[in-house]
Amino acid sequence: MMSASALARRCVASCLIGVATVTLVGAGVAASASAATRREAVLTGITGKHRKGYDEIVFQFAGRTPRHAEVRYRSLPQSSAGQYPTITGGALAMVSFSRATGIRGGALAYGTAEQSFALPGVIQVVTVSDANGTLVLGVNVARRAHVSLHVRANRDQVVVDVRTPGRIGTVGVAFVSARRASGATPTQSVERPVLGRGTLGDAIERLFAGPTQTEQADGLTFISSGATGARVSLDSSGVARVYLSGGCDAGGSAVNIATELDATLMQFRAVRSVKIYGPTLTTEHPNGLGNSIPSCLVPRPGAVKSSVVLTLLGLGALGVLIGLVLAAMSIAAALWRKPNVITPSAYVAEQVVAHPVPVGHFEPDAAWPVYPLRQMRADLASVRAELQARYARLWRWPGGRAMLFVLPVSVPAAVCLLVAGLTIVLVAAAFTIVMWACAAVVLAAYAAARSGMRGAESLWQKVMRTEASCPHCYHVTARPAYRCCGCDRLHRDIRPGRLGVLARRCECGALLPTMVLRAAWRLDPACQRCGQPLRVGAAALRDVRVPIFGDTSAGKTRFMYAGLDSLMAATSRTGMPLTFPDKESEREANLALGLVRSGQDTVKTSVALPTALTCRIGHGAGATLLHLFDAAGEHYRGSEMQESLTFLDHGHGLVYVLDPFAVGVVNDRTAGQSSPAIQAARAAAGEPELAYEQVVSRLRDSGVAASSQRLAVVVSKADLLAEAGIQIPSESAAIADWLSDAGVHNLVLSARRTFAEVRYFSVASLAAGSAGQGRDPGAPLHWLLAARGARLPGEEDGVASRRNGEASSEKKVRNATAGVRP
Amino acid sequence: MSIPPTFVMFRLVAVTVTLVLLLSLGFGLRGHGPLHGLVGYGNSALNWLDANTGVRFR
Repeated sequence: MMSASALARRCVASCLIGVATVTLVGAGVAASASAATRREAVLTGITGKHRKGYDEIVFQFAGRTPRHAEVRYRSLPQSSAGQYPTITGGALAMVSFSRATGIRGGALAYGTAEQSFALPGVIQVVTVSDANGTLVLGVNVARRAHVSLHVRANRDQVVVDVRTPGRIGTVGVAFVSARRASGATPTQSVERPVLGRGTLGDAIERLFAGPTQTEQADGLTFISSGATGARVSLDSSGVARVYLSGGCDAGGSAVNIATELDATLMQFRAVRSVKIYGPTLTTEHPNGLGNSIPSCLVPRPGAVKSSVVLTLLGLGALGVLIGLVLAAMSIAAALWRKPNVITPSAYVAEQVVAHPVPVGHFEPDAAWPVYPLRQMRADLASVRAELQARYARLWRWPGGRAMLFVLPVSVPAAVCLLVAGLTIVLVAAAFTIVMWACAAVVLAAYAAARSGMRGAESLWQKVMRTEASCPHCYHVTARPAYRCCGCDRLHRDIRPGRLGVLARRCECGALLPTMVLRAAWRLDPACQRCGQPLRVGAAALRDVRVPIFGDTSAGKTRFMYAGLDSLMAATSRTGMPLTFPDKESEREANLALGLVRSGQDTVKTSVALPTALTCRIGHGAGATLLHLFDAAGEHYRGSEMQESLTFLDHGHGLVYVLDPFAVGVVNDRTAGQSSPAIQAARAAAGEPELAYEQVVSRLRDSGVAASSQRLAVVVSKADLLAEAGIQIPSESAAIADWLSDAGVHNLVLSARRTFAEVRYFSVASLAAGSAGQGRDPGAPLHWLLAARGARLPGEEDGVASRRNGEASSEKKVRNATAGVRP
Repeated sequence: MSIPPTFVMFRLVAVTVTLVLLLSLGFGLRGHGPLHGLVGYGNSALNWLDANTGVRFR
């Protein structure tokens, strides 16, 4: 029996022995491990990074760095042939580490044995050998360049730098993606920086190098189909020929190396097709432009499934063909063979129905509207109708449409026709979209041009004060109508717009210019109201209308022609042309001017409504059309007759011809005299102020703003007055005083209040140069023309001097109205 | 009554542009032309056929 104390001692001893044993064993293991750590460094990771001018490969070790490390270029070991991608012009730099290993716990500690990098110089790092304390890695570089190695002892790193001289480009490489969605493309392209511009060979190299570790984690993989390398060539027709090496077997899979090669090489713009050759240098379709693969890469699907799909595809192709032919026939028929033409008359009728013409307005002009505005819609409707009609005929089967579902060919035919219908819809949609797109472009250009041209014309008319005055009905408008040079039809709105921007085409086919400024010289203008012809250049030239009124025998007609003669003399002295734009004015003027120049009396004016005597002063676009209206004095004796004298309403400046022999004082002084001058004067019978009052009353009743008009009060027969021994002053203010003194003060006062500006003239209505100083009959016309901006010879000086005289005369008139004697 | 020449010109331009558009669409599906971006969709369809039926067009 063992005592309790002995048992206790034995237990303690056993424990001590156990503890000692465990301690010794543990110490032994630790010692052996420590010895191993001292012997070899463990490679735990390889990273790469491109820096400016070189690629940097960092070999990360755990605990310590290898005892010795070196790098140098070498050829591939014979035993490793086929392990690396085929490199054209590339090189392999061997990096060896002594007292180092990459194995820890029976597995590679730094990842995979082959690691690819997205670097321009370094393509891949592969494990060559790891034995006997020496780890050898191969750095696959794109081009043999300077390589260096240095150790970062403080970080347990060995760094290999590979120079990357020259330009760096990129290529796309397509790897098979394991995470693609169903039906999506099986490959995913990634970019690789390369030395130089990036060739097909570069792309092939990077493809065979495989995806990087990051890309592998993203599901990308390289399916080699047994090939270990490839070389590629590109011919002038864009056919890239790839020759696989090492082996070729896709195992019947539809996704194989051909999928990656096609996707990779087709990214190059120069490549139109890819022909892949197997190791036996054969491919299915070596000629032509289509892609081709070797027999070792052909998948092996079920034959029945394939034939059904091929049949359906054939039917679809036939349907597409039928649809294209039908669409082409329908478009040709709708646009050319039997188009639905919207004629100008039909367009006008549509416009009138859509927008009824108010009373006093005119229907739109009968000209072809621009194509996108109307005819385009008609054409699209025709195309649509033709397509529907032709397609509907395809479904007419013998025995009715139900037979379509009975006959043996029903399903294929229906498929074919449905595809044809779909094609027709697509073509029609494309044609419609193109039509509207073209229309949008054209209409935008039209709108811009229209606005610009209209703006330019409005500006011109405003600056030049252009208008169109009818010499017959006295209607005034900004734009006249124009007669078509082909059919004599009136075009009332010639502005750029719906009927054309630069030109419009009349229904008769004649091409007419748009814009008043262009049409004024090429077409015959006509009055918008009465249709009578207007003067050439109407609404394009400065327009000045001067009505001349006064009592009978006041000398209006003679003053008008004498003033005209004076204007002609003044313009001829400086070479400025003064012509007559119409035959009627020319004939009348020549007749009357002959009488004035020969000193004979002019013919009494007819009581019929006058036609304006128009002359054009100046040349080109800066000329002025001067319209002179001379109605018989009888018109101013009754309000009824005045109703027709609408030219008074539109006058820019009025000329009131006053016969001095009709003034009471003068009449009293010349009473009983029988001198030839008194007899030639043939004094007006009525009161001198009567015609003036009638005209002012008419202007007021018509709502005409006389306060914006000028009035020239012309005291005629100044030469006869002088012969009778009565002197009349030549200055405006003095004439006003003279008239006031002579008892015509009511006229002087009224004129000052009624008109914007009044000027008094005493004239001798004689031929040019015979009137004498201060008696020029052309002076009133000069004054009124200058007020409208018409520049006449010597106008600058004349205007300045007259302005000076005007200021003093105005002052004198005011004094006179205040009862102060000059 | 003859229609204005501008009508004929507009129709010709529209038809020509439509034709070019359709041809471009076709070439685009083939991997060339201005609608080259559509090649992805075309390839998807072809790959679907390839993977599911074995029908190859290249």
